[in-house]
Amino acid sequence: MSAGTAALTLPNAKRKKKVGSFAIFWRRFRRQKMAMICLVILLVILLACIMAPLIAPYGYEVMDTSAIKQGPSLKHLFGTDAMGRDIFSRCLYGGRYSIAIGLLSTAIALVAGVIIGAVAAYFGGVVDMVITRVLDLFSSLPSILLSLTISAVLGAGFTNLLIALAVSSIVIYAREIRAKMLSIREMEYVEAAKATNCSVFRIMFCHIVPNAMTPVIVAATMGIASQILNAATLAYIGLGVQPPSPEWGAMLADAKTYIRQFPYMLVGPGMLIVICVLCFNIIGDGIRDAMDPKLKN
Amino acid sequence: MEELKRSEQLNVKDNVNTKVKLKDQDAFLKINHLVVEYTSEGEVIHAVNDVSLSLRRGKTLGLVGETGAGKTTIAKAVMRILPERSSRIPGGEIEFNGRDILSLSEKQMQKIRGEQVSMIFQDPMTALDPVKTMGQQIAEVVRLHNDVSKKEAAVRAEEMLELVGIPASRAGEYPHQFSGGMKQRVVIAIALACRPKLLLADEPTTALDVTIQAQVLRMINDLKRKLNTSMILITHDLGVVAQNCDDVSVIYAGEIVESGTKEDIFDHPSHPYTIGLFDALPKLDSGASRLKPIVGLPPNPTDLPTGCRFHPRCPLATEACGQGKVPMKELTSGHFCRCNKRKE
Amino acid sequence: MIKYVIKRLLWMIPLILSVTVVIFTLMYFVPGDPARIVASTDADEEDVELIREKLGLDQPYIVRLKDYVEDVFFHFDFGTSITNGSSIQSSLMERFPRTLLLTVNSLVLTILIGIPLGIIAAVNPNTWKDRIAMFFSLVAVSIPPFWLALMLVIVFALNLGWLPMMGIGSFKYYILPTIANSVIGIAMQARQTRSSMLESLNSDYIVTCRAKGLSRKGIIFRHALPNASIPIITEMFFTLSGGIAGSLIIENVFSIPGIGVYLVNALNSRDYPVVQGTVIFIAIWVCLLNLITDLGYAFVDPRIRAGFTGSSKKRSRNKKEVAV
Repeated sequence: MSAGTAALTLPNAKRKKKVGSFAIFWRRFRRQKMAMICLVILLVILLACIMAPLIAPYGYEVMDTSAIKQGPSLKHLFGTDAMGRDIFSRCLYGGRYSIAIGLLSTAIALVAGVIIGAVAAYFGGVVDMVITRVLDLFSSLPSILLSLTISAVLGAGFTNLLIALAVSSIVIYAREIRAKMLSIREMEYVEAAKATNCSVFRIMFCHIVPNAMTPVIVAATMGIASQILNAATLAYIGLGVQPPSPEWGAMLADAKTYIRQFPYMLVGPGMLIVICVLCFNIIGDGIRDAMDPKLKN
Repeated sequence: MEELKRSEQLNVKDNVNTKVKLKDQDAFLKINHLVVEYTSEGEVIHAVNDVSLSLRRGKTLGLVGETGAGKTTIAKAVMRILPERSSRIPGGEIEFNGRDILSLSEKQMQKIRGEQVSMIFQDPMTALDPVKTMGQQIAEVVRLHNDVSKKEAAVRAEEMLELVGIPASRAGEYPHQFSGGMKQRVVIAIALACRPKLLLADEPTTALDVTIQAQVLRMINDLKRKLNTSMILITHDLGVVAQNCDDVSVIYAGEIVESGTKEDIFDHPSHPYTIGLFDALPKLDSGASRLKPIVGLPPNPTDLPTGCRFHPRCPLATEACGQGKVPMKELTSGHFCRCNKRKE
Repeated sequence: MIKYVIKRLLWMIPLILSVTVVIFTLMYFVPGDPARIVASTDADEEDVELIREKLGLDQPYIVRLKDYVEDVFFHFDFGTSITNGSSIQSSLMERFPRTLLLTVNSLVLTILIGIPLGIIAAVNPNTWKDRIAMFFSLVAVSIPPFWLALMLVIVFALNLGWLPMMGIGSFKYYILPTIANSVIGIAMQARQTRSSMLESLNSDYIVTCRAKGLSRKGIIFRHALPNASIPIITEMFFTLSGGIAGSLIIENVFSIPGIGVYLVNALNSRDYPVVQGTVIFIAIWVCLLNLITDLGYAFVDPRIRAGFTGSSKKRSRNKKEVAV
């Protein structure tokens, strides 16, 4: 009886708690100076990239034959490349690719991973076994290798690159959510929900999945960082965004040719990758600490 | 010794004078005005506030109080094993066997811990290292404090296991292969392996089944007598105190509220809190069918009430109780109580 | 224990088989005609058809799959490269030691630098030592390895001229690649070691150890570290298995003829037998590492050891019952 009433009041209680818990989360997150600084830096970079046509001093394709291979100066912050294009402007345009790839591929992987993991944990038995084995199969190859092979098979192109990167990281989220769900299934509030004759599906996706999301969200924030790295790596090897497009990794691949004479060309895009990835990582750490202070120490 | 035992058997009041003398001579562990604070997320937790205790050689002192009253903190302070970063001892002194514990260096302290003073922990399930065998864990403390070879230490470890009633053949097994009661026996074996002079038993039976509790307590007592060890027995169970202790101190919100011999406390409980504790116990012989719980909850240690710490829950409290520090008063010789309502 | 190892080795067979089928199928659908790659650019349609027949490319998918699986599993034969006709398994055997050397070097650096760094940080939590160590390891995991490699080349090879820029030879040639390849691993290991050490240092048995009179050093190395070692071993596994992936890029930057360069070149030139062979080879390597890692767990934790020798089946069944 008491279990029943508890579950009946659960939806209401949850709705109230949701607002409250986000406020608590935000208050804890705000207290972390490093994470806040990184959030601001990242937002500035993001805005600059989105508004590249307004901010960038030059177009990303504009070649200035009078200024080929010039070192960094006030006129060209990061210098110019072999065709006289302004590297700083290209970096701004390129950021759209890099950050979009990071965000989108993580989003795809997250959605797919959560569904796959939840299905495995929900149905159990044979379904669970098959899914777990397939995940085992995927993790028998390092993720960058997997995306490398997939992108080679699919061929170049933005969508194909997204798929290649997403597929290789689905495993992480699927495993995480499955493990968490299996452990949460045993908790008492699920029993309480069962006692009110809630459908199992509803229990799974309204009660269990939301509660299992904490580790997945943290993994996803860090995941964006590693996807940006992987995208750059693929482009560098020649299997990602193709060179005419101003993607950071592709620009580095271009610039490698001139490493002996004009090493400055490598500095700008590389630093931007490092800064973006670092910010995502620090924010990820911050989210983890804010969501679950117990994990901190 | 003989005299002491006899004096206890006789009426307490008649022997007041001899006992006081003995107490002073024999005070083997003396804690004076000890204060311990923890800090957590910028808040100061007042765990122990001005506690004074004394323990006679070879005797058992019961430290009674609710969870969170500061009992474990006192024991850890004596061992100097409070968490290094989050705790501090702003005042007080601990004198053990003539040495000032709080002024010793960490190195000197390491020699004392495990050899002269050792501790039995509340939860045997987590108190043992899960990746070391029982034999290794006992032998480790033996080797730390005795100049013996590995082999000799292992033999000592097996002897200790036998002593606590575990076959020596199980020395090579790991904690996950033992039940809770067995683990607590091993914890006791570790604590007693070097024949310490002082044993701090922190709720040694709370985590165990009732049937095992009595066994373990009897064992601790037997070994204590055999090795002539003094003991502080921390508990919230008055039944345990009645069976095992010579002296009793009742602690509330980090303060001793009443102390005396077991007879003083059990026959003449004086502090309202102590009385409350007794009233909360089921009694077979009295006619009352309902227990009388103490109303309210223990105070928040970050924000202790002024005056008498117990006054918000006290049935006898008047307005004056909320003001000023309440001193310890000696009711009869050796029987102290911290209450304005009691006359000396 | 031996029974367990054999069971695990047997389990590898279906796993590798599935990897083989998947990679073969993927390669089957790669755009581009392998026969045309083999044929010279000026070959006419007839020549291409001839080559196709010779390579068995005219056979249906299922037949080709069967032949390939047979070759790989019964003859350990990965076939020959279609770009230069050399035997794939001998190329792999020739190249693997170089990749392995790079990977093992990284592992050694990870153990020598990453673990101590993590321990120092965990023993002094929230002090400047901890903050500096953790900030730098976070920076380190944020640097693309190939870019770090290029920067190292610019500074140490081009500007200072201390070390060779690329190629293989004496140990000097391996210094920069090893550093570039291991920075991420060191940082990850430091972070992992810190968090698992913090967890074990906060356990109750550490208080017991202090009560025994153990010194700080004794507590850290005899109790906290052994109890923190499972995540540390996992991280070592990632260093070794990820080392292969890392070598893809690092070998590329430094022109080291290892497995990574072999695979990347094959992918770029659509040399599908080489891609298949290399991927399967790497999958076998990762599976073996996995097994060794699990044995490592058993070595450090008696509870896992107990699960291996005997009651493992019973336990997993119990777990399932609980889960249902």
